[in-house]
Amino acid sequence: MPPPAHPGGGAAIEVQDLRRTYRTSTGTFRRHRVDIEAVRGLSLCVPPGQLFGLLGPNGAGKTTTIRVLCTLLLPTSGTVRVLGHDVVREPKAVRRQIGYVFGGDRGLYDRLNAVDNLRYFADLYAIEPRLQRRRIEEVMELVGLRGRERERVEGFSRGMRQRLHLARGLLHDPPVLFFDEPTIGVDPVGAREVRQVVSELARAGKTILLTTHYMFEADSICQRVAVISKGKIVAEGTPQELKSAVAARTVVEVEAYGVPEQTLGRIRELAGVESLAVEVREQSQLLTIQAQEGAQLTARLLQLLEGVRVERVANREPTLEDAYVSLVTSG
Amino acid sequence: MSQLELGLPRRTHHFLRVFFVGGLISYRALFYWITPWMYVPTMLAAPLFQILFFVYLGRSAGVGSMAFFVVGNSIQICSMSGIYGMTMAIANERFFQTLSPLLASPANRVALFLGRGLPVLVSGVQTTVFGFLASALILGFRPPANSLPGLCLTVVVTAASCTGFGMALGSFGLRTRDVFLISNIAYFAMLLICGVEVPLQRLPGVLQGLAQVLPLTHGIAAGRLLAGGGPLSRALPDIGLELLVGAFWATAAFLLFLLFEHEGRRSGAFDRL
Repeated sequence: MPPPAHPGGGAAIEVQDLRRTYRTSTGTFRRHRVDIEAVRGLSLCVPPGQLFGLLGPNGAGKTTTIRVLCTLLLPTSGTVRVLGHDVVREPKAVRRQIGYVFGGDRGLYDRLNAVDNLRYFADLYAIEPRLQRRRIEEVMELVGLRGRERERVEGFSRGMRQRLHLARGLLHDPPVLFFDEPTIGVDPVGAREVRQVVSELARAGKTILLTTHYMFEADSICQRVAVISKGKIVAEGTPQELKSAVAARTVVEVEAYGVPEQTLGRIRELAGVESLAVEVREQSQLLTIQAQEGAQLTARLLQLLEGVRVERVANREPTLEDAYVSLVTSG
Repeated sequence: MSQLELGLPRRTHHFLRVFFVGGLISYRALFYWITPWMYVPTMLAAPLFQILFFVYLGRSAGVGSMAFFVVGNSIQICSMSGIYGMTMAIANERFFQTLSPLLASPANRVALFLGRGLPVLVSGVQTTVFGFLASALILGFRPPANSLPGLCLTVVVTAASCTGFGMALGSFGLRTRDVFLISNIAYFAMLLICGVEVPLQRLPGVLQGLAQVLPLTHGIAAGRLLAGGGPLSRALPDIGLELLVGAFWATAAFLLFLLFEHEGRRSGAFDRL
C-alpha cells in the first residue's frame, strides 16, 4: 500500500523546535510554583510510511512529545504538524487521521467487554454501523483476541489489555499511528507479538512514531531512531548508524557487590573511560564501562575495586544499548 | 465517500449514534451503581428510608403534612442520579484513565457530553417514580388522579434539570480529581436550600435567592401544588422555570467542559489520578 498523500506533501509528522513546560506547585498554604521543562527545543521529521522510534529514559520527554502530537497537550512553543495539519489550529483534522496506542493496563472500560469497548470508539470515530462489526472482527483477529470478545476487560491479563489498546488504535484505519511504550509491562512473548503487529502495520504503509526505552525494540523494528534525553534529541539516525558511533569502543562489564559511590567516581575519572552505567540487581551491581578502543582497563579496574567482592569481569562488543547509554549519560 | 467528506445527513446520523448509543455504553461503563446489588440499595432502598425518615420526623414533631415530605423527598431523590450519575459519567473517565483516548477522538463534543445525560435522566425518573409508589403503598399517600399527568411532567423536567446541574458538577472532573467532594456538598446543600424539608419562606433571604437558580426548587413547588389538587395551568410556570434552570446548567456545563478540556490540554492535567 503506498504511503498516504496529504495536502502539505512532504513529512507525515513534522515537529519544529517544540518546547513544553509544565507548571507545578509545592506547599499547602504558601504555594510555590515550579516550572518543569519536559521538552526543550525538539525537532523531528517523519516521512510517510516510516516507522520512527523515539528512544529515551523515563522522564526524557517522549510521552509529552507524543501527547502534543495527539492533540492532548498544547505546545508551549514550536510548530507541530501531522499530515500537514497543525495540532493547535486544526486538532479535529489531526484526530481523524491518527491512532493513539499507549502502554500500561489502564485506559480501557473495565466493566465492558472487549467488543463494547471497541463499539464505543467505533461510534466516536464515525465508523458506519454496518461496517463496525466486520472492522471489529478484523482488528480482534489482527491482535489475536478472537474468542475473547465477549469477556469483560477487568478479567484480561496485561498483555490482552495491551492488545485491546492496539485494536482500538487501529479501528478507524488511521494513516498515522502513535505508540507510546506499547510493550511496557508485557511478557516477552506478548511483547514480541505486539512488535510483530507494529512491523506489519509499517509494511502496510502506515506512518508510525513509537516511543520506547527498550533498545532492542528500537533496533529490531524501527527504520530510524532518535535518542531523546532531558527533552532534547541527542542523536538521530538508523539503528546501524547509532551503533557505529560506539563501534570503536571497548565495553567492560563488571559484576560486583557493594561498590562505594567514591569508587564509582574514581572509575569515571580513569583515563580512557567514556561513560559508566550502574545497574542495581538484587544483591549485586552491574557496572558497564565504555572506554576508548585499546584502553587497557581490566587491571586498573581491579585495582580500584580492591576490597570489593567482584563476581566477574568481561569484555564485549558494543551494542545499540551502549550507544544509547553513552548518549543519554553524556547529554 | 471517505470519513472526511461526511454529508450532513450522515453527520447527523453519527451525532445521534454518539448521543444515544455512545451515551448508553458510557453509562454502562462508568456508572458504579448499575449492578442490581448496588442499584437497589443505593438508588431505591436508601432514598425510600430518606422519605420515611422525614415523614415520621415531621409527624412526631408535628410540622408539615405527609404530602409535604413525600412530594419533597420523592422529587429530591432524582437528584442522586442527576448529581452522582453525571459526576461519575465524567470523573470516572479520569479514574479509568480513558480521558486521553476519548479526547483524542474527533467525536462531536455536544453529542459525547450531552448523550451521557439521557440514561442518568431515565434513572432519576425511575427513582422518583419508585419513591411515589412506595409512599403510596407504605404511607397511603394518594395524590388526586387528575394530578398524575402533571406530576409525571414535573418529575421528568426536574430529573432533566438535576442532570443538567450534575453535568456542570461533573465537568469539574476534568479539572480536579476530588470532584465527588463538590458533588457531596451540592447534594446535601440542595436538601436544605431547595425547599425539600424546610419551606423556602423559612430560609434566610440569601438562601431563598440561591434556591431560585438551583434545580429541584421549582419542580418541588409544582409537585406540591399538583399533589394538593391544584390545576396544571397554575403549576406550568414553575415547571417552565425548572426547565429553564436545567437548560441554564446544561449550557454552563457544556461550556465548562470545553473550557476544562482546553485547560487540560494547556496544563496536562488529564489522567492525573
